[in-house]
Amino acid sequence: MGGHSVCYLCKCSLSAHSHTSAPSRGELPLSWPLFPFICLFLLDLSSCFLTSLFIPCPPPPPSNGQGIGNLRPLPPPHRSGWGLSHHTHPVSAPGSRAQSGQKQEGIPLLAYPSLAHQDVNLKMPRNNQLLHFAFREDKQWKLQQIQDARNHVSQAIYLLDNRDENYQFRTGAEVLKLMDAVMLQLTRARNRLTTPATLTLPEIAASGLTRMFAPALPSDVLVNVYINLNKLCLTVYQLHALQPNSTKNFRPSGGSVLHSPGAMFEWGSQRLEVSHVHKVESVIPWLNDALVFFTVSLQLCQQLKDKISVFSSYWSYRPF
Amino acid sequence: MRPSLQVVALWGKKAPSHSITAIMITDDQQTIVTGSQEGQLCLWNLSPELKISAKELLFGHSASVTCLARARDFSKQPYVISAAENGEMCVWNVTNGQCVEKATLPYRHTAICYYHCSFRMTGEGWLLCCGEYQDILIVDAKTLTLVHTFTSSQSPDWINCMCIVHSMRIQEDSLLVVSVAGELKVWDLSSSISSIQEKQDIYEKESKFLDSLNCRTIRFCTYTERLLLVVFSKCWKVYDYCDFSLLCTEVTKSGQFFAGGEVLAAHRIIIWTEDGHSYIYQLLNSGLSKSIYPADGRVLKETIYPHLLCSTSVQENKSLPFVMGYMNERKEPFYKVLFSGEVSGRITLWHIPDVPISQFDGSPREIPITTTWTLQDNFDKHHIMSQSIIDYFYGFKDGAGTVVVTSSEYVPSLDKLVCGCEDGTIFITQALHAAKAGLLEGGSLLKDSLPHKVLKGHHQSVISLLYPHGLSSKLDQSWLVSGDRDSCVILWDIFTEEILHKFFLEAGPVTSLLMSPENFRLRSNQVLCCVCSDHSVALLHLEEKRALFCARKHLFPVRMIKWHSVENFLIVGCADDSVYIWEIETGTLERHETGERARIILNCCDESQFVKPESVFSVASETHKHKSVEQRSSISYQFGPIPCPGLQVESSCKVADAKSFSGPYNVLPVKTKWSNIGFHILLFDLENLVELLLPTPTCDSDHSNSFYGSEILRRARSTVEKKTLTLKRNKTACGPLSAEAQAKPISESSAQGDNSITFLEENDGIKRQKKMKSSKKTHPKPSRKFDANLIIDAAKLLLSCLLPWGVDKELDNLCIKHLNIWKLQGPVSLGLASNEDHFSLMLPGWDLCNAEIKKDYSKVNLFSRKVLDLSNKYISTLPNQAGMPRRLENNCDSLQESNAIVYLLRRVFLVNKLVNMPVELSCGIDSSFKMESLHNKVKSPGNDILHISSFYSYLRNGKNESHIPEADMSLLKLISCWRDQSVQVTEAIQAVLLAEVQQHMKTLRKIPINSQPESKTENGNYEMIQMRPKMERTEEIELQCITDNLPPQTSASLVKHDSNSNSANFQDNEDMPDRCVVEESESPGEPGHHSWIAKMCFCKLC
Repeated sequence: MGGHSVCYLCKCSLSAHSHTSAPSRGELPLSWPLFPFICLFLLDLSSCFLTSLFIPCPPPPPSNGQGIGNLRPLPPPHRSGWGLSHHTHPVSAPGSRAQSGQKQEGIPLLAYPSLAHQDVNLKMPRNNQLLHFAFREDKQWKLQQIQDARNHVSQAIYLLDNRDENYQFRTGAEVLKLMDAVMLQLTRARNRLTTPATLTLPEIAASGLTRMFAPALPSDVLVNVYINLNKLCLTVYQLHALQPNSTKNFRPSGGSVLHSPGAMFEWGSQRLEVSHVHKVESVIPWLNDALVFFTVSLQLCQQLKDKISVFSSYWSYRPF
Repeated sequence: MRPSLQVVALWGKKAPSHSITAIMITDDQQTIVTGSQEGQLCLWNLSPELKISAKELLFGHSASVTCLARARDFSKQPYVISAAENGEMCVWNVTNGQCVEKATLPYRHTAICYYHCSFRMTGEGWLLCCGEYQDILIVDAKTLTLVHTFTSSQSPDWINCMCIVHSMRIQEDSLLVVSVAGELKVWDLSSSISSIQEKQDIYEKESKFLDSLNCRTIRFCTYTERLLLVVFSKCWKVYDYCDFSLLCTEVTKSGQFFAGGEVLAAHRIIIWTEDGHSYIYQLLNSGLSKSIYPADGRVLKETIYPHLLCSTSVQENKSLPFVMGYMNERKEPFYKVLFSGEVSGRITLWHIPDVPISQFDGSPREIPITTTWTLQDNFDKHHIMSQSIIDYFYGFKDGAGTVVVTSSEYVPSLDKLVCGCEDGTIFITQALHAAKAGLLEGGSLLKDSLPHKVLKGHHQSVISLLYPHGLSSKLDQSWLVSGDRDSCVILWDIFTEEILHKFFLEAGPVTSLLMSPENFRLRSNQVLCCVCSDHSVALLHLEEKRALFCARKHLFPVRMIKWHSVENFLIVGCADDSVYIWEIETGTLERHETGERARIILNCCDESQFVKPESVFSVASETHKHKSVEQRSSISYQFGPIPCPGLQVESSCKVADAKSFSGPYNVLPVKTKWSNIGFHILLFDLENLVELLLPTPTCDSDHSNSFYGSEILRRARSTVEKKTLTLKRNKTACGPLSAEAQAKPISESSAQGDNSITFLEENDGIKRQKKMKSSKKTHPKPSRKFDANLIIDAAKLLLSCLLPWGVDKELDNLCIKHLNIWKLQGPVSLGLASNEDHFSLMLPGWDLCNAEIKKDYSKVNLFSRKVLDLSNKYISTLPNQAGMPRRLENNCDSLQESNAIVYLLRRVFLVNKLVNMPVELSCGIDSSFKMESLHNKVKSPGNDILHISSFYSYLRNGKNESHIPEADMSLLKLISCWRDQSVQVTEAIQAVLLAEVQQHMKTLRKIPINSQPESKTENGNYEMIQMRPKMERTEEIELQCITDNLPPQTSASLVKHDSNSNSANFQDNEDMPDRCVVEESESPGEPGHHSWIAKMCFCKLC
């Protein structure tokens, strides 16, 4: 009947209720060491984040670059240590072509999923000039979504961790509350990855990302990098200034993950309009793993909760 | 919840669960504030002897409270801010439990510091917040809007903890924070105030990596102005503030985690752990001075070592984690207090000696616990007060009274309270009766005569109940559905008490029952939806008595149920944000979606659910009538707020209920999430009560009169509509109309009187009537069903709950005798609504929190000593005449009694409204009021009592100011003064009530007084003596009153005021003839003041 492990959970009600009264419901016997499992998953997750944030992850398998217009292989940037030339790979972005729709535009290239040492190459349609900018080396720019998700996970670990090894839970409600708190953190962590922030254009312009490049971005380009599910997305907005006497009626656009051409905003004293949008995506394998881990650990937590509530419903109503 | 609602809580024997997540002691050391996982705040009174007693429970947050902090300079304004898991922030006044300000920002705070720099800042100061976002937010303490942020240039990250350093030496305030990654950062505060106001970027001044994770607390030693204590979960460290060099490190024992710490004195610190232990250390110099070890490239040696002096611990069964805090002494009567709150809801205090010393042999000394207390202790100690509405059921059970009510539902239209019990029985009883039995002294008598029914059919505890007719009037009135723990759902006929059908779902316990909305029909009937705790959802067809299907594929608890009426889909939203779409006819899973798509689907359905009634709106107002109900049910579908389910939707549900319930009173069952403990709240709608209690036009002589006025009335009514449409005064403007309609059933009734009204209504046409209904947004049907006795009973119950008993024994007896109200068994737990969804409820034992009242057990329910002073003041400003029209004294006792009650209720309502004015103003009071005051401004410029007078005239439906007698102006002024002196609403109401009752009863005492004048002095009531000269005049006037034949007059004035209120200042010409009507009917002997009181009372606005 596996009653032993149950007592471990809800020790106080053990004497009052014989476990035989609980009907055998499938795999009901609570295989206790669920916590270690959950912890394991969480640790997995956090180490995942730790490695990915500070150590460059192995890059996704290089795509062969087919169908990417006039992609130009970059000259290998001169950086010590990481043989960048063979890490550099073009990222195909079906979305970008669909969006821009025009013949030849610059295709941004993305080197690493980790955002240090990223190179972006952009061919401007206007003057056919190839823009090249990379992330500054003196600053490490952390993707806020990853940072938040990691912090949420470490909070969840802390919640599970901050008691003595031989601490005994006294009531089911205590475990339920703990699980609720842990699940809240895990859900938030997952949501950070699955739902990118909807930003307005002035917010993008004000974000630190625009200052993260060397050489500095031209003033008519805005860049936004975010994570959507298991993909790292880079959007580049090309802007042109609206004439103050233009007949177009100015309507600032609201917040959005991806702004469409024609979106307008005010920055400083200038009124600007998005003329072109380029978007590239790169699938990051470890993000995929992370999302799976999140789902699994959430399900584990929920299963634990379910088991506790099944038992509590067959015991006296009181101690719960 | 509207402020005009009066709330009485019936707590029951068990305290609601309160899992403390945040705790603080206010600066005056008189109140402990705790925040809970359930979302409520609790105020505990801390006596000078360090005794704790719970005072109030504050409702408002719908998620777990994350942190508490002071929100003002406490000596000026006793405000505390609370932040919740879902981003809600509230500022509470901890002396009266009122919510002063609220806001929801998309940030979750974990710590808040109040900062105010009086000579450089205007306004109320800032709240520096940190939490689950990068860096520091600066929030305005008054408006709760985001002012600016502190940003870090180096590795921005979440901030774990912070402290403000006021250093005398440097003459600069700084903000010290530690990020989750363990980086210490310093921002200048006082010197960056101006740049914050100019919204410039402010970067940190210094930063240093501290080499440990999970920082819990950072504290600056103000005694040495040099040491910096940083507590991590695995160790604590002391740094030198000057150069951030490490002076000392101490790691935990195995299995212990540090949770926080504080500096006790110079070189003396206290550290506490997650499991409730604390340790006091003396920091000793190790003899190695820093200068000996110059910075030769190596890390500085640790130059301090800690010596353990004392420790504290909790012996009893502890529940993790603890939240602790330390309050340093400030002045003489203050103590150094270490306090802790547990998840179980227990508060423990330790009195830390000024000079903690170790034992003689050098081993640490154990500091004993000074006090420990829980909410339940309060309930046990004051069991008389913690009356539950169903306590008398215990009487029916033979043997131990252990019936636990596991679910309850109130049926307003029948005034029935249905309670499902743990043993599977269901009680049905009269709600008002039950409440009276629980609260009042004569309760034991009432218990025996209490009508009740017992339904037996379940074998397990009944955990969900639903009365379908309450949701949709098309459903059968006799139906009651109940679900139990054994997954059995029973359909009852509540009138015949028989089981119509038993459904066995073969799923988990049925946690909630929902009815499909009106626009969703399956074979022309609505469908019942049962949500089970094993995440399955079962659909039942009640008419056909048949289970449709059971959807069992959900992996997570069901959070939301939506109905797609066009395609017959049932859309189930789960806790993990996934969505399952079921086809209702076949019971097959049509789709399963997660993430963004799921969100889109849920949002789409939201529209489809509400598009229909809106589009039909203009065609048939019939559907619109139920809109409020639908909205309400849609809210209640969303059980369990998403982020952290606390009080299971009840808070939001409550609001909806309070908005939509139409009767004069209501009973609200409330249940907390992690326990089965529930309690009931009685809600009295003062406004509605007064409306319903209005004497109706009855007498024959009035007949012609009402016909005479009918034309005007009709015109006046049409202006009502215009106003409703233009000014959006939904409630107040159409008050008179609906009141008249509602008052109908109460009329004791000549058919003629009724006829005249119905005639009028018919004349006016159905179309308008519909409009009236829609603008009122309540369904008049159920309210019509309240019979007069019930309303009078409700009014009496409310009065007995509000009256301060035991102030004067004789007065009590007179009240019981003449007003026919019962004395209270014990003090009641009154509630205070601050706005729509923030309110506070007194806890049992609140009356003992006031030190002065403590010894005086004869006084029951006296809110505070202040009430007596206030009521004396009130009496002294009261006009020389008795305030109450006392015409029918000798002939009809019951009528007089009800008149008195109505009068008192009106007074209460007026006071309530006056004292609540500022709140209302900030919420945007009726535009009409503003217009009115504009009018008045034109009329009487430069009047310093402009505000009051305009409000006053507003109350009196815009009559000319010249009519206001001086005495009443002074009364209003007095009450308005109270508001400014921060007299609490309850105090004001009690004071006025007491004074009015005293006045009223005095005249009743008249005859015995006249016969034996000595008895008066025996009374010992000095107010009596004071009032004596006035009384004589009162009698004179009363004589006059009695000679008048007034009943027709009242009706006339009613009619008049209807029109008056409607036309207000808009159509003075219509107003004029109407006024003549009243003047005609008024007797010449009637004193002016008297007439105004009569008028004022009959207006629907007061």
